[in-house]
Amino acid sequence: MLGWWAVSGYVWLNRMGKALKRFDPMFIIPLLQVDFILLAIVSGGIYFQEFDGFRFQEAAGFVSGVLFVCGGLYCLAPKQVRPS
Amino acid sequence: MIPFLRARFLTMFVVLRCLLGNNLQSLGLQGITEPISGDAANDVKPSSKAPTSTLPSPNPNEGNRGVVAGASVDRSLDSIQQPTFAALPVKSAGLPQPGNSPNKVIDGRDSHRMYDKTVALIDEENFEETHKQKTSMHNPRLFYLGTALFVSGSLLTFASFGFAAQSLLASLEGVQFVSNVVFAKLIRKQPVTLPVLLGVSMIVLGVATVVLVGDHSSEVYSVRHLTRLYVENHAYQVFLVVAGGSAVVLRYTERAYSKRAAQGRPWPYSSTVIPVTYAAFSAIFGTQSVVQAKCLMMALSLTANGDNQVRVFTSETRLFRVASLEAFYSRMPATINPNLLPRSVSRHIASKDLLLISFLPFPSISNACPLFFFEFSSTTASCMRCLVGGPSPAMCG
Repeated sequence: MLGWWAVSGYVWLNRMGKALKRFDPMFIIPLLQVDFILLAIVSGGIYFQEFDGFRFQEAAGFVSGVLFVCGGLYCLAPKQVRPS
Repeated sequence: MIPFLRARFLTMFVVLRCLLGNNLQSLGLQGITEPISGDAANDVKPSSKAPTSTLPSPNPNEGNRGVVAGASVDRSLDSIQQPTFAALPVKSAGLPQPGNSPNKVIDGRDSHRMYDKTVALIDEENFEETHKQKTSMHNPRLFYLGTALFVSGSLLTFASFGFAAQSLLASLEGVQFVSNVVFAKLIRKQPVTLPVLLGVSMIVLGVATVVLVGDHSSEVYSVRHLTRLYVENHAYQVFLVVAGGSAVVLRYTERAYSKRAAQGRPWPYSSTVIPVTYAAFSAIFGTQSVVQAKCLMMALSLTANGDNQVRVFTSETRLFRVASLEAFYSRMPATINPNLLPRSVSRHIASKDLLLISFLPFPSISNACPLFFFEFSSTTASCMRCLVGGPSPAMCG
């Protein structure tokens, strides 16, 4: 558990640092954050069985809330993207 | 820790810059060659100490039209010249002032030269402003204060995993963008544009919705239960297989696109596909650290409440330690230069044997370290004598 936490954290930070060098930071940071938030929700929800107690209305509200967050991040991201 | 801090600081800085970039442009300070609206120019208040002046039009027949580098740009002299000279009280002395030479006739060539000087001075002023902002980042006190705040925030974030569901906490990460906008507005005095306002509103609405309908339970599982989840939670097994397969496909796609782009023959949408696949692959690994951090927090929480979970760790970590030590031990002889050993030693024993002897006592000590794993708590006196006396003959031999 400790080892996997350290390895995955190192891989994430290492690749984030490389992404800042390689791509336009104003584009890659919101993209990384959206991916991170979505996958953290899905992986945590499945592993800790947090979605098991969801009814349909709660699931719909949860999904729409996540979509709102991602849409808001898209609005905050700059529109001019410099190619890598 | 240092790469971690650097990456997080850089991320925060880049996000802030990303948010402020459009706002600086709307202030009209990014360069005078860009169109400047009257409203934006009016945002800059003229200084009372600075002499205000007006530039004549390059062509008097054109009224308020100026020509820069052969390109016609619509400009209102009232809107651009006052903030220009107000912001440059000292440097504007180098320009001909109408007050100093009231009778001098300024022709079109002079006005072009004055215009170019103004452009150069504003660019220089922008450079100095940017340089001041950069050097302020190297202020040691600010750096230590920022580091302390950041470390505290990271520890609190880690601690928060013990209080709420991960799906709820992950959604709250979007709040950092809202705080960046508030920081830009209150501290940097930057205007908030409509897209930024819309984005912030959507994030606030989304986070509020997730918090309302999300899982509010904060169950704390034991390490054994967490381990059992890997075996019994078939949905998570499917997720891991899909995530692993996706990671392979994403990595392969990114490398193939990057290779083609490096060869100068990029496939369509390369500029989008490469960063998207890169980010998705990174996030697959990154989110595993969040899951494991929550597991660690649960274990620490239970241990702090008297249910020692560290003992459970010993069986798991022993395998990890044995594997890592074995890897270290198997690689060391290849890196040791026998010529560096005393001749009397290297003649009789191989370096591997020497390492083996040196290696012997340490696993028994580290595995039985009472501070970490409480394994001496059940050790009897006779066992302790054997533990201490056992490696001694080997060392002597």
